[in-house]
Amino acid sequence: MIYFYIFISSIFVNNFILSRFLGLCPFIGVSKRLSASFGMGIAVTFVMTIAGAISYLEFNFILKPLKIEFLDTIVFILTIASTVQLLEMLLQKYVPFLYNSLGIFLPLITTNCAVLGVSQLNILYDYNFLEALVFDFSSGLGFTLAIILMAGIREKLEFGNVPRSFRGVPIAFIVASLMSLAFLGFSNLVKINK
Amino acid sequence: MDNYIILYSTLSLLILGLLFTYVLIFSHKKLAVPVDEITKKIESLLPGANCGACGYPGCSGYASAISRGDAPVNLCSVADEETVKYIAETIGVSVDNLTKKVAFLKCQGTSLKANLKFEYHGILDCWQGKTMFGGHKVCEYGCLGLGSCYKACPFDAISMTAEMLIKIDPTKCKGCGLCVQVCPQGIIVLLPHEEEKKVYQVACFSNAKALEVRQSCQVGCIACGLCVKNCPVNAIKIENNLAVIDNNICISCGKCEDVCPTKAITHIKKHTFERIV
Repeated sequence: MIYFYIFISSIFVNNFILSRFLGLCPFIGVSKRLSASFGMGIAVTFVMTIAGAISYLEFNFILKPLKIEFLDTIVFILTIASTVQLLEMLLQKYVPFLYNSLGIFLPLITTNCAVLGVSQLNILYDYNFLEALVFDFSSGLGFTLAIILMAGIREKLEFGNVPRSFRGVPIAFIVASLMSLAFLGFSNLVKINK
Repeated sequence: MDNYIILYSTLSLLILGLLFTYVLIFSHKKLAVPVDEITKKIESLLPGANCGACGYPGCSGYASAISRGDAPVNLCSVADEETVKYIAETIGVSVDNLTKKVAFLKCQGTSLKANLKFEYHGILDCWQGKTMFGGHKVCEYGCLGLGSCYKACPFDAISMTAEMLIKIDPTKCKGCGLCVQVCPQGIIVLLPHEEEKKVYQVACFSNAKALEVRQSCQVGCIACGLCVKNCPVNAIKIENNLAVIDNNICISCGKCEDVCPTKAITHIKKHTFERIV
């Protein structure tokens, strides 16, 4: 049951973008087209799951026994960067359309703080490996959900009569803040006593 | 244990780094995508600024679009003519049918020549200025000179003057058209850029009647028709109280500029360009 709680909590209650405010760069940058944002969400989910799992293992089986936990950030960044590179090669080979439409934002997943955040929170919340895996994956799904909702709204906004000074990114920020307020309604939906 | 912390941290980072390196090297060999030689060559010719002015994601995206034949070779506004020629040679397109364009302001109404309704001291933005009784010039078609285009120009080709009229430097202009999009008056047009021929154009956009134009501006087109009569190839027409020159027919003889009584007809001046050559 705890897995289900973690799953729901990291998608809705503690959504990475809308309530933790991590990973806003791709959230604003790649949310103009629905197809590209879907691809971005899947890519981030992939990186989060792989990098989160590897960094969990690294922390618990290398850093902790050697008592060099202070190296966690640099090790996590190393892991994330390698995973993103791997993902870039995979996409270029098998899904060139997605590779082209993501453009510069694909290597920028490396600096997406949501991915680093997931690795750090795994440690902070003291999850076991399976829980961490569920947490990583569902956090990615939460990111995907938020960015897809955003892209859907922004595609409609293109046709709206937005005041000149609000066009583009400013209205996107307003939309994001309203979405964040809406997601506040999920708070206290689940509570994990850990 | 404390004595070994440096050793342990160095070793573990070294081992992890090497491990990831080998994984990446291995997968790079496994997953290598053969890059088209032509695409590679075009990308090396492009400026590499990744500005996106061509409408493609970065220079590599544009290079692959060129090599597929989906995009014309002259979309890059940063690349100079030499580069465009090289690229065209690489994919075997003739360069002749590429027309370079240059922005032209269809107004000469400086604050000395065009009468003002009031003095504007607001925000320096043409859209803002236009909301004030349709602009501070009596002629409501003219350049407001508040510099919306100046801010939009990425190549520093547009300058603002104290006379409430912007100035376009045709040698710096790359013809990207960003100024055309931001101008609330719609008085900036893109004209074909010719190396030798002079490009003549009516530098007025007013559809008002002759009397109104005369009262509001000294250099406005009053649609007198002298240029139409004197044009040897009938390239000029009067439409809506305004003379319009068709640059496709114009042979650049310059008679219209000579006969125009209000000096509303002018040509794109290439002073700096001529000095360089």
